[in-house]
Amino acid sequence: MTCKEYIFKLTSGQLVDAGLIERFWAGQHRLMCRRCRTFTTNDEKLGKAVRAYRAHLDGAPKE
Amino acid sequence: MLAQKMDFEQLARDFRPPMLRFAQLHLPRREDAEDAVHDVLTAMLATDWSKVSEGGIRTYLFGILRHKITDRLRHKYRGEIACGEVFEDDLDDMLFTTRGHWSTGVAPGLWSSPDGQLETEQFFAVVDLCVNRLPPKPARVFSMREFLECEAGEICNVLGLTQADYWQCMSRARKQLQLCLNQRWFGGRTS
Repeated sequence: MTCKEYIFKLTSGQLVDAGLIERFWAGQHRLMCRRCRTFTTNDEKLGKAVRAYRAHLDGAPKE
Repeated sequence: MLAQKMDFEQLARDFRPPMLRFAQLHLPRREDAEDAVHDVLTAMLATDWSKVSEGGIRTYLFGILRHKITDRLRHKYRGEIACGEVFEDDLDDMLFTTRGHWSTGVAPGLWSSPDGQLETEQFFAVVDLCVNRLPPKPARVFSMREFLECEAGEICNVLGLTQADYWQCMSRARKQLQLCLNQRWFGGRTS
Protein backbone atom coordinates (compact mmCIF):
# COMPACT_ATOMS: atom_id res chain seq x y z
CA MET A 1 0.00 0.00 0.00
CA THR A 2 1.48 3.36 -1.00
CA CYS A 3 1.10 6.57 1.00
CA LYS A 4 -1.24 7.95 -1.64
CA GLU A 5 -3.45 4.86 -1.43
CA TYR A 6 -3.45 4.89 2.37
CA ILE A 7 -4.30 8.59 2.61
CA PHE A 8 -7.11 8.16 0.08
CA LYS A 9 -8.64 5.28 2.03
CA LEU A 10 -8.33 7.24 5.28
CA THR A 11 -9.73 10.55 4.06
CA SER A 12 -12.51 9.06 1.94
CA GLY A 13 -13.85 7.24 4.99
CA GLN A 14 -13.32 3.77 3.50
CA LEU A 15 -11.28 2.56 6.46
CA VAL A 16 -14.26 3.01 8.79
CA ASP A 17 -16.15 0.16 7.13
CA ALA A 18 -13.17 -1.74 5.77
CA GLY A 19 -12.74 -5.45 6.33
CA LEU A 20 -10.15 -6.98 8.64
CA ILE A 21 -7.52 -7.53 5.95
CA GLU A 22 -7.71 -4.00 4.60
CA ARG A 23 -7.52 -2.54 8.09
CA PHE A 24 -4.56 -4.80 8.84
CA TRP A 25 -2.59 -3.52 5.83
CA ALA A 26 -3.55 0.06 6.64
CA GLY A 27 -2.28 -0.46 10.18
CA GLN A 28 0.93 -1.96 8.86
CA HIS A 29 1.46 1.05 6.62
CA ARG A 30 0.92 3.42 9.54
CA LEU A 31 3.51 1.53 11.57
CA MET A 32 6.08 1.98 8.83
CA CYS A 33 5.31 5.52 7.65
CA ARG A 34 5.82 8.43 10.04
CA ARG A 35 4.22 10.97 7.72
CA CYS A 36 1.06 8.89 7.28
CA ARG A 37 0.98 8.27 11.03
CA THR A 38 1.14 12.03 11.63
CA PHE A 39 -1.51 12.72 9.00
CA THR A 40 -3.80 10.16 10.65
CA THR A 41 -3.38 11.75 14.09
CA ASN A 42 -4.08 15.17 12.60
CA ASP A 43 -7.12 13.78 10.76
CA GLU A 44 -8.59 12.63 14.08
CA LYS A 45 -8.12 16.14 15.47
CA LEU A 46 -9.69 17.53 12.30
CA GLY A 47 -12.72 15.34 13.01
CA LYS A 48 -13.02 16.75 16.53
CA ALA A 49 -12.59 20.28 15.20
CA VAL A 50 -15.32 19.75 12.62
CA ARG A 51 -17.71 18.43 15.28
CA ALA A 52 -16.98 21.41 17.49
CA TYR A 53 -17.52 23.73 14.53
CA ARG A 54 -20.84 22.01 13.76
CA ALA A 55 -21.94 22.54 17.36
CA HIS A 56 -20.85 26.17 17.02
CA LEU A 57 -23.00 26.56 13.89
CA ASP A 58 -25.94 25.11 15.80
CA GLY A 59 -25.20 27.48 18.66
CA ALA A 60 -28.13 28.47 20.84
CA PRO A 61 -28.55 32.14 21.69
CA LYS A 62 -26.49 33.22 24.67
CA GLU A 63 -28.40 33.60 27.94
CA MET B 1 -42.33 19.89 28.96
CA LEU B 2 -42.86 23.41 27.68
CA ALA B 3 -45.75 25.49 28.88
CA GLN B 4 -48.44 25.75 26.24
CA LYS B 5 -48.01 29.49 25.89
CA MET B 6 -44.95 30.03 23.69
CA ASP B 7 -43.40 33.36 22.84
CA PHE B 8 -42.94 32.65 19.13
CA GLU B 9 -41.62 36.11 18.40
CA GLN B 10 -38.87 35.69 20.96
CA LEU B 11 -38.02 32.22 19.64
CA ALA B 12 -37.81 33.57 16.09
CA ARG B 13 -35.57 36.45 17.21
CA ASP B 14 -33.30 34.08 19.13
CA PHE B 15 -32.98 31.28 16.61
CA ARG B 16 -33.27 32.99 13.22
CA PRO B 17 -29.66 34.31 13.13
CA PRO B 18 -27.89 31.00 13.91
CA MET B 19 -30.27 29.08 11.62
CA LEU B 20 -29.64 31.52 8.79
CA ARG B 21 -25.88 31.24 9.31
CA PHE B 22 -26.13 27.44 9.16
CA ALA B 23 -28.38 27.48 6.10
CA GLN B 24 -26.07 29.81 4.19
CA LEU B 25 -23.25 27.35 4.63
CA HIS B 26 -25.11 24.89 2.41
CA LEU B 27 -27.26 27.14 0.24
CA PRO B 28 -25.10 29.84 -1.36
CA ARG B 29 -28.01 32.01 -2.44
CA ARG B 30 -29.19 34.07 0.51
CA GLU B 31 -32.79 33.88 -0.73
CA ASP B 32 -32.72 30.06 -0.58
CA ALA B 33 -31.27 30.14 2.93
CA GLU B 34 -33.87 32.66 4.09
CA ASP B 35 -36.67 30.57 2.53
CA ALA B 36 -35.46 27.48 4.38
CA VAL B 37 -35.36 29.34 7.70
CA HIS B 38 -38.77 30.85 6.97
CA ASP B 39 -40.16 27.33 6.43
CA VAL B 40 -38.83 26.28 9.82
CA LEU B 41 -40.34 29.29 11.56
CA THR B 42 -43.65 28.58 9.85
CA ALA B 43 -43.47 24.96 10.99
CA MET B 44 -42.99 26.25 14.56
CA LEU B 45 -46.54 27.62 14.52
CA ALA B 46 -47.99 24.18 13.80
CA THR B 47 -45.83 22.32 16.30
CA ASP B 48 -47.29 20.50 19.28
CA TRP B 49 -44.91 22.03 21.80
CA SER B 50 -46.24 19.83 24.60
CA LYS B 51 -44.09 17.07 23.13
CA VAL B 52 -40.86 19.13 23.01
CA SER B 53 -38.69 19.42 26.09
CA GLU B 54 -37.47 22.87 27.06
CA GLY B 55 -33.88 21.88 26.42
CA GLY B 56 -34.71 20.32 23.07
CA ILE B 57 -35.96 23.37 21.19
CA ARG B 58 -32.67 23.98 19.41
CA THR B 59 -32.26 20.34 18.43
CA TYR B 60 -35.84 20.24 17.19
CA LEU B 61 -35.58 23.40 15.11
CA PHE B 62 -32.21 22.51 13.60
CA GLY B 63 -33.52 19.05 12.82
CA ILE B 64 -36.31 20.58 10.75
CA LEU B 65 -33.83 22.98 9.17
CA ARG B 66 -31.58 20.12 8.06
CA HIS B 67 -34.52 18.48 6.29
CA LYS B 68 -35.47 21.75 4.58
CA ILE B 69 -31.89 22.26 3.40
CA THR B 70 -31.56 18.66 2.15
CA ASP B 71 -34.85 18.98 0.22
CA ARG B 72 -33.59 22.12 -1.50
CA LEU B 73 -30.25 20.52 -2.31
CA ARG B 74 -32.07 17.54 -3.80
CA HIS B 75 -34.04 19.77 -6.15
CA LYS B 76 -31.20 22.11 -6.92
CA TYR B 77 -28.27 19.81 -7.59
CA ARG B 78 -29.79 16.53 -8.77
CA GLY B 79 -28.39 15.78 -12.20
CA GLU B 80 -26.01 18.71 -12.14
CA ILE B 81 -23.09 16.44 -11.40
CA ALA B 82 -22.93 13.62 -13.95
CA CYS B 83 -22.23 10.18 -12.60
CA GLY B 84 -19.50 9.63 -15.13
CA GLU B 85 -17.91 13.03 -14.66
CA VAL B 86 -14.21 12.72 -14.09
CA PHE B 87 -13.12 14.49 -10.94
CA GLU B 88 -9.73 15.99 -11.60
CA ASP B 89 -7.83 16.22 -8.37
CA ASP B 90 -4.62 18.10 -8.92
CA LEU B 91 -3.94 18.17 -5.19
CA ASP B 92 -2.55 14.63 -5.28
CA ASP B 93 -0.02 15.68 -7.93
CA MET B 94 1.35 18.16 -5.41
CA LEU B 95 1.26 15.85 -2.39
CA PHE B 96 2.63 12.61 -3.84
CA THR B 97 5.33 11.43 -6.22
CA THR B 98 4.49 9.32 -9.24
CA ARG B 99 5.28 6.28 -7.10
CA GLY B 100 2.72 7.25 -4.50
CA HIS B 101 5.08 8.43 -1.75
CA TRP B 102 4.83 11.80 -0.01
CA SER B 103 6.61 14.56 -1.89
CA THR B 104 9.34 16.27 0.13
CA GLY B 105 8.26 19.07 2.44
CA VAL B 106 4.47 18.90 1.97
CA ALA B 107 3.20 16.47 4.60
CA PRO B 108 1.78 18.40 7.57
CA GLY B 109 3.65 18.23 10.87
CA LEU B 110 2.02 16.88 14.02
CA TRP B 111 -0.56 19.28 15.37
CA SER B 112 -0.35 20.33 18.97
CA SER B 113 -2.76 22.64 20.73
CA PRO B 114 -3.61 23.50 24.32
CA ASP B 115 -6.92 22.19 25.60
CA GLY B 116 -9.80 24.40 24.59
CA GLN B 117 -7.91 26.24 21.88
CA LEU B 118 -9.87 24.40 19.20
CA GLU B 119 -13.17 25.75 20.51
CA THR B 120 -12.46 29.44 20.27
CA GLU B 121 -14.09 31.97 17.95
CA GLN B 122 -10.70 32.61 16.33
CA PHE B 123 -10.27 28.94 15.49
CA PHE B 124 -13.81 28.64 14.15
CA ALA B 125 -13.15 31.65 11.91
CA VAL B 126 -10.16 29.80 10.42
CA VAL B 127 -12.20 26.60 9.99
CA ASP B 128 -14.89 28.65 8.27
CA LEU B 129 -12.31 30.16 5.93
CA CYS B 130 -10.83 26.76 5.06
CA VAL B 131 -14.25 25.18 4.44
CA ASN B 132 -15.22 28.02 2.15
CA ARG B 133 -12.01 27.59 0.15
CA LEU B 134 -12.92 24.03 -0.83
CA PRO B 135 -13.86 23.41 -4.47
CA PRO B 136 -17.68 23.45 -4.90
CA LYS B 137 -18.28 19.73 -5.38
CA PRO B 138 -16.15 18.49 -2.44
CA ALA B 139 -17.58 21.33 -0.34
CA ARG B 140 -21.16 20.16 -0.96
CA VAL B 141 -20.33 16.55 -0.17
CA PHE B 142 -18.31 17.42 2.93
CA SER B 143 -20.88 19.81 4.37
CA MET B 144 -23.75 17.36 3.80
CA ARG B 145 -21.76 14.65 5.56
CA GLU B 146 -20.29 16.60 8.44
CA PHE B 147 -22.74 19.47 9.03
CA LEU B 148 -26.05 18.04 7.85
CA GLU B 149 -25.03 14.57 9.15
CA CYS B 150 -26.33 12.83 6.03
CA GLU B 151 -25.25 9.26 5.32
CA ALA B 152 -23.11 8.57 2.27
CA GLY B 153 -25.96 6.84 0.44
CA GLU B 154 -28.26 9.81 0.92
CA ILE B 155 -25.58 12.22 -0.28
CA CYS B 156 -25.02 10.17 -3.42
CA ASN B 157 -28.76 10.03 -4.03
CA VAL B 158 -29.34 13.75 -3.50
CA LEU B 159 -26.37 14.89 -5.58
CA GLY B 160 -26.51 12.10 -8.18
CA LEU B 161 -23.03 10.77 -7.38
CA THR B 162 -21.46 7.36 -7.63
CA GLN B 163 -19.76 5.95 -4.57
CA ALA B 164 -16.38 6.57 -6.23
CA ASP B 165 -17.30 10.24 -6.75
CA TYR B 166 -18.30 10.47 -3.09
CA TRP B 167 -14.98 9.00 -1.96
CA GLN B 168 -13.02 11.35 -4.22
CA CYS B 169 -14.88 14.40 -2.90
CA MET B 170 -14.54 13.46 0.78
CA SER B 171 -10.86 12.67 0.32
CA ARG B 172 -10.19 15.97 -1.42
CA ALA B 173 -12.07 17.87 1.27
CA ARG B 174 -10.26 16.30 4.23
CA LYS B 175 -6.83 16.56 2.62
CA GLN B 176 -7.31 20.20 1.71
CA LEU B 177 -8.77 21.08 5.09
CA GLN B 178 -5.81 19.54 6.89
CA LEU B 179 -3.37 21.43 4.68
CA CYS B 180 -5.29 24.68 5.12
CA LEU B 181 -5.53 24.40 8.90
CA ASN B 182 -1.88 23.37 9.06
CA GLN B 183 -0.91 26.52 7.21
CA ARG B 184 -3.29 28.98 8.84
CA TRP B 185 -3.51 27.77 12.43
CA PHE B 186 -0.97 25.11 13.38
CA GLY B 187 2.14 26.97 12.34
CA GLY B 188 2.71 25.63 8.85
CA ARG B 189 5.17 22.95 9.93
CA THR B 190 5.78 20.22 7.40
CA SER B 191 7.86 17.06 7.19
